[in-house]
Amino acid sequence: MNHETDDSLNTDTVNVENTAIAVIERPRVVGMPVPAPHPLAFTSSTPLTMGVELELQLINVETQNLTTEADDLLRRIAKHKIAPNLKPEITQSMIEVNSSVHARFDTLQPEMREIRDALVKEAKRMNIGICGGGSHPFQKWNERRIYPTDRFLAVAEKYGYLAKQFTVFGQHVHIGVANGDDAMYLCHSFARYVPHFVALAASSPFYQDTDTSFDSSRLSIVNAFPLAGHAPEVFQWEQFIKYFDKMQAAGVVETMKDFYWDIRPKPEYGTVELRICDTPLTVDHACDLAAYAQTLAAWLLDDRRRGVSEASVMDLYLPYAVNRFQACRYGIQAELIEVETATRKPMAEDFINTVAKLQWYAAQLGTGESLQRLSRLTLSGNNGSLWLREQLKDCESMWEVVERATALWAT
Amino acid sequence: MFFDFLPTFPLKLSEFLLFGLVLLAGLVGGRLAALTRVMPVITGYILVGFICGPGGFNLITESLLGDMRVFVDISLGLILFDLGRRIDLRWLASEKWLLMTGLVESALTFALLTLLFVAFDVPFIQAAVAGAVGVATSAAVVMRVASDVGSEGPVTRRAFSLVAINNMVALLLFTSLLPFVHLENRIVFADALLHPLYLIAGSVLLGAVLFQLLVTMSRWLKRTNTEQFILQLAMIVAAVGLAAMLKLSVLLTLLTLGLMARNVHPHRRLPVVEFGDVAQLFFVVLFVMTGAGLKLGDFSTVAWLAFVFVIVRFVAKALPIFAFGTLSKLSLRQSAALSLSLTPLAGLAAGMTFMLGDMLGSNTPALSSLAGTVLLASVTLMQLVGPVAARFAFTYANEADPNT
Repeated sequence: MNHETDDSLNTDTVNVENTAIAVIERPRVVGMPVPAPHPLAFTSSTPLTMGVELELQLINVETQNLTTEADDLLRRIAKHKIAPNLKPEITQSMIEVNSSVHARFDTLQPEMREIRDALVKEAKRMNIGICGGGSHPFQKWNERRIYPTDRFLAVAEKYGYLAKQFTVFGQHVHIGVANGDDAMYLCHSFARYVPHFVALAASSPFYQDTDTSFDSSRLSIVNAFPLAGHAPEVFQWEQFIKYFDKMQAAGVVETMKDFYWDIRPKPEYGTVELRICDTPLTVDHACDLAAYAQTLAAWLLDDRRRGVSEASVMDLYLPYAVNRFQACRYGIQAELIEVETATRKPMAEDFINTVAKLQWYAAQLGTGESLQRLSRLTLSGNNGSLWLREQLKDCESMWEVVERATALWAT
Repeated sequence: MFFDFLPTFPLKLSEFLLFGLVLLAGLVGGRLAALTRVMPVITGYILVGFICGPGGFNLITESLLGDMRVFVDISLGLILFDLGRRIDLRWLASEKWLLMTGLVESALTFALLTLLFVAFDVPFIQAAVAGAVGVATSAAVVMRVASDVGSEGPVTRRAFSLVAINNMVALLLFTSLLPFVHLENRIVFADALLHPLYLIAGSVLLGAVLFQLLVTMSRWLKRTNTEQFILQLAMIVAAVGLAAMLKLSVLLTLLTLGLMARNVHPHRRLPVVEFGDVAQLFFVVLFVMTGAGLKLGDFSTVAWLAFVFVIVRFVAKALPIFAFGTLSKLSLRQSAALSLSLTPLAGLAAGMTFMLGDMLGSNTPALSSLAGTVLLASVTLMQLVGPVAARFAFTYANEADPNT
């Protein structure tokens, strides 16, 4: 889920070497007025650079319920060097952290660990906890308090109780692309792999004090929003701009932020944003997922035949919702429908086969170990949801599950 | 005799009837207070109690006050246990400026209040006893007001810690002074020395034994909210009864029990159960009875001195809070709110004075009439002002739930 995150990927600390964000050059004719760029003009960025956003839970360490101290945490940490990496979220019980832009996993992970350590240290001084996971097991949504910024108050006004129910926690991964056409191609091509990300990141089995039987219950909350779903089946950026202008003129949306799609182009950053992962239980796992997205993007962009073509995009989206549901419901044990062969196959097998194809790219990008860890996790079935369920079985209390998850996040 | 089946006059209020009436009256008072939007509901309970009590229309007489004592004690037990379990000792150990704030504000309050009474020619020991009593902040008022407005956040959490610290310090100071009071009253030396020891060590020991029993049973029972709730409630009521039976400190026993529930076995703690609506019943009775116990007659004679007492106490607590607040990264607004939240000086302080009276026998006034009267007058004043100040503090700190 995301509200403010749209403008929150931290560009203040961008490593220029890694990003080389360039403004699109326009031909100029002397004496002619320069037309204003379209608000959706696509900013080119270095392909395959990546950035991570994580929405985190703020925990009352006494009751293990969510606390409401995001503003105080942000105030207290305002002078710390990680301050630019932090942002408020829709309710006072959440906070968002975002990484700088990275070309490689081995710079992303240390930065994310540093942010985590600083955050955990300050939280300890405040006597609150920081916790990963896609949902809080037993918080009551109606007890949440909206973070008082104009945008969040407007979202709360617009969406009513959905705004407070949106106190669920997601990971977003940005992958840099050279232009808008690449962005649209990648948006559609990634869609086939959405179940992988959902299942590997799944860590929201509990919601409102109940085992939902889902591995990721978080996405059901996102589904309630009218503009959730996937991007329109267009492939050229020009076409996308026309689509957006039409939607805007009709009053369906005001800005790109109004689309709550699973995968969204992000023209101002020059990225494609994957928004379907639950926030994992550790930053290391979050970094592994980003590494998978980066490697997959490298493989897909390297040869367009590997991804989706305009001719096959309709078929791609036929089983999309069902496959996504399967991954939410059964996690790694999901079965995926493949329309072209009219078959079902285990998601785990599909993931392992995909990883096998990525080996050369993983070696170039330094993501091999991440993919190995994700493969081991897939074979054992041990995602975040399973871990959380095992904890509940062991301690028989939801609040102790939160306590353990908070301790896990800090390590 | 005809009409034997009819009740005989005068009708006698049974405990059941009284309990029901007190609850009803409290509800009305609470509702009226809530309508003001600045008064916490407990002020409504207190005012209704005062109006119905011996100081008002005398519907709740002194003897009925005694009958209701059991409910009041259970309420205090619940509150003290709740306070104890909200104190994270590991946090206090690591966030040293908070601990320092608590110790310094307690010490400064004790010193300045003692000096105040000495300045008014109260004998030193008695001035010190009054000073010790003045250190304590009402756990009942602070915690119930915070709960009523749904307050949660850094100021609330620190307020609870400071309330626990200054109640502990007050109790320690108070019991340490007991030998001297005993000696002044020519009580046997051994008694004078052993009494505080029995009181402190005995209460802590009782709390610890009950905690062990609580943990054992908690692990044996199902960890559902209902069973754990009944278990904890039962243990609290038993603890109150045992402490009273053994002439130990109810405050220290329950605080010990709560502190251990939170801090021992940090990785396999007792479940935190919400006492919820059941406890709310007891709290209504507690505050209505507190109100009924107030006496305005004493107040008028020493009102100005009580006012000075309250101001000195506020300043003594606020100075260290502001001084150490910066080191704890508190904003000025948070420090101001925290200082205000400690204003309530209430039932427990009165409890201590009464306890002293009980211990020394009713014929021996524990405190000089001046110190005692000023204390009680301050309590009266703060019962009315304290909850309003605490409510304002939590709202001012932006920690009260805007939905309540």
